[in-house]
Amino acid sequence: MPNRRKILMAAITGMITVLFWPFPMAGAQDDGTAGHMTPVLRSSKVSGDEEKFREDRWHDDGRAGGIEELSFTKKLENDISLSFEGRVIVPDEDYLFRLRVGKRKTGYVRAEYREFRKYFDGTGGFYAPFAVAPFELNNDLHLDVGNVILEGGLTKKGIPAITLRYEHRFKEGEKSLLEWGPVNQAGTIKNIYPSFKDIDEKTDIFSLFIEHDIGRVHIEDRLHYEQFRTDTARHDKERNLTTGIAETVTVNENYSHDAFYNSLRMESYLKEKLYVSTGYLYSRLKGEGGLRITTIPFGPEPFDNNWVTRAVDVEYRSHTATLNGMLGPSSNFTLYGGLQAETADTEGDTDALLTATEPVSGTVSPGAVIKSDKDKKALEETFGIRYTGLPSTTLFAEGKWTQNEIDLFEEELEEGALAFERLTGSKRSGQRYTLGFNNSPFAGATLSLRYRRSYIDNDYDHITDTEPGYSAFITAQDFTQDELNVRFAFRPFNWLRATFTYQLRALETDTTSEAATDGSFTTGEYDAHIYSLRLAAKPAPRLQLTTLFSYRDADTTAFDNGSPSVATYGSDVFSALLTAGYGIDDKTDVSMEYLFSQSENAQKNVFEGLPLGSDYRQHGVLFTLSRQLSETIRTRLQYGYYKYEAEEKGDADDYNAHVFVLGLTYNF
Amino acid sequence: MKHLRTFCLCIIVYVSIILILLACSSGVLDSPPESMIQGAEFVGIKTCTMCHSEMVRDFKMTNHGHLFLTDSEGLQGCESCHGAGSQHVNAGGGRGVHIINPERNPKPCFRCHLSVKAEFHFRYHHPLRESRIACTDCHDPHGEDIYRPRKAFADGINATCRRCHREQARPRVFEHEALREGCTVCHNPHGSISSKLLDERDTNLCLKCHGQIASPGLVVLGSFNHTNFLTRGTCWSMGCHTAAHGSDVNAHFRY
Repeated sequence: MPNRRKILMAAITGMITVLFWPFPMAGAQDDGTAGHMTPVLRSSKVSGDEEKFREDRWHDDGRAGGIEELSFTKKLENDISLSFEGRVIVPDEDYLFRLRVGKRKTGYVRAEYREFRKYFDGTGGFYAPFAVAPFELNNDLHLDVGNVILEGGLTKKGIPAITLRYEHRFKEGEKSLLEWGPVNQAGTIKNIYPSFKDIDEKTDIFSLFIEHDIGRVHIEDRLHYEQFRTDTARHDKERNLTTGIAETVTVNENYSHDAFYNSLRMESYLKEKLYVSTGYLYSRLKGEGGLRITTIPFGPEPFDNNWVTRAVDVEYRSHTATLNGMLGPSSNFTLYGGLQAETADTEGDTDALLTATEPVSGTVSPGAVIKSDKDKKALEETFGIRYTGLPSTTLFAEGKWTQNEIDLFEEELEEGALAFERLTGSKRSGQRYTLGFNNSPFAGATLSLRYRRSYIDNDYDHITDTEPGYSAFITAQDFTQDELNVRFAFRPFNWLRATFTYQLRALETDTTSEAATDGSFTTGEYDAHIYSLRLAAKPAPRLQLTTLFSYRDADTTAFDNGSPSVATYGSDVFSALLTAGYGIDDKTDVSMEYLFSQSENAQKNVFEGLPLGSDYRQHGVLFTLSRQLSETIRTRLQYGYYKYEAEEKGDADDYNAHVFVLGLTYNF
Repeated sequence: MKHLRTFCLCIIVYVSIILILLACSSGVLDSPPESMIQGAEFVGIKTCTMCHSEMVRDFKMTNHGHLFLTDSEGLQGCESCHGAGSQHVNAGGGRGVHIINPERNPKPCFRCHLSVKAEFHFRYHHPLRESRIACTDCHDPHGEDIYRPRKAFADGINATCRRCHREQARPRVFEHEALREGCTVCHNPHGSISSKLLDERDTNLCLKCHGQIASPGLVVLGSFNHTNFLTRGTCWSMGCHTAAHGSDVNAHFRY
């Protein structure tokens, strides 16, 4: 099926190209024709983990080639213009065809096909005391992702502008998962066996957009209808290294929905300095699905539960209304505000058959009927001011408030008897305050600062919970976040521009649970300080240098109640990106890029838990030599060296790679 | 601190190299190094307003408006991101005619958002530098009207992620309430050192919300003692809470 799409798009674009493109040409034509084409050849040689190389570089190893870039525009008679962009790299499955034909002040049609491949490394976790290398799937996991667009638009003056669009999106292939399976060695169990998932996902979207001005009022309406369907299969495996016994669990899931929304929006400048807009959105989604779990061999393990659903139905409806305004009492002072109200209702029903093994009664297969219902009412307000009256300075402040009420009902009946019921009423309120300034103290310098504090308070009232304390054991949860962004850019010399940024992000999560006797306590703390410096220099006419250093000092500490198996998660990263370009003469350039990234956050809980911290180094160097061979042809030769080392995976992911690229750009 | 010292050392070395190169060079450029469009000059925001008045007008309500809508020196304003506009003006305007389009090229965004650029070079990242996506696929640099009624089928911030990740954002019979706070509670969309762009690759991801005071040394969640399970690995391991985005059959997200 994907090949049919590619062939169709290639055929359409090819035919139009031949029809409109008088070949050969040299240089930009007087008739407005211009473009370029870049064929390339690439060869990659990898020693080490090839899958990890593909995941990092987003392309295949070995040999590849194709058209890296094809672009041309042509002006035809009667104000008609044609443009085309293309890209084909095989075997990377990297395709782009983009065609647009338009007539000035009348309309246009365009077609697009885009596809790329995402690669995944299938290496599992590493637990050093097992003295075995990490398990690897080695099944060339990759996912082909893309879309097809067909669109037409009417842009004639005096009548409504109309855009009609069809889009088909797809994802096909396999991806790695992090739900690793248990590996048992002499009674010690660690969840490190890699898992993966088959995916076949398709979405068809039809949309219509109409906009028009009536007097001073701009009106627009957007209609959207989509059909979504997905079939997935998750493959998990459990292994016992001592007995050699393995168990596999396959979770097949399918789901499809029809969804529709329509939004109507109007805006107007009632007076020169008074702007008002309002809108309404209605959306509805109706979906159905199915799930089947297959465990082989099906044994007495506590989680050996095979489910087969007979029906899964979900439905979602929402209404949203907005009202916004902006007032500019003076040219330097702006006030703005907005209000959004929303109601949403989600319902879910499942009819399933569960086969489980119980310690006493053995294998049982109760039928389960599950229902859920969520009603949400939300209100959100924003108010902001902005002042530009001071010389070369902008001052701004904004407040945002949210109030949500959500009622949740969940129920499960097994063979007609109540097995689980939950009724929770929750209130969620949020506040977000932002203030800052942007100032240019002297020519070539800019200093900007933005500080933001936000609070989100959740209160849960578990009116009914037949499994007391599980899963609805949280009665209140508050998030408090501070963000500070500082940026200073200046040009000390005409040839040098420096930019320094500092970011602070601190998030605290406070929780109150049913079991807590001393009220609220901190369950999570995240602190990050990020320092970045960019230098862009042109110290000589033919020399250009750009550098970015960035260091992130960050960690997350969750409430572990003194359990040694939980270690602080560090995410410190040091990154350096350097590029240098030098023009040897009028026809020849050389450039060099160096990329470095390092994270040393190994966890030291090997005897109490499973270390999952990151500990890696990544280097990449790319040399490019390019030369103008003639007025229309430029060639480029590239060599890249990439090195990756990850001690966190016992060096199983390490690789060294050499990449050669030869490209030729023909301008016409 | 070790990394901070390395960071400072790299900066000193680099600045030294530049100064040495400057000493060896024969001259410097006349024009600012980052007009971004060769041969073009800055025209100022008032010139842009002549054709793009609505865009400039609405820009005031956006985050970028706070920072750039200052008509000083021409360097502040539309041309900060789109490059110097003189050639675009002289050509009579037109889509992509002598003007930078950040939709196709993230460089203008990265001139200010330095840490975001670094995140896109982490080992796990959305494929921006591989040209598979653009900043504008998720962000509207001109901002929007404060509230636009177009966040359909998903709560709040999830609407942006839902465009590509419909399976993860779809309604489920049993909802994971973390999704009410948005996908970014667990994921860093630009880039991460952890697979699947997770903020934390271990049990901290869950325990930062799911905490409960119990006897010291025990991790009890609700009425269930999880202490031994945590020694094995993450909460979303096989047989445990694998349906982290919600489940159609199990209230505890086991499948």
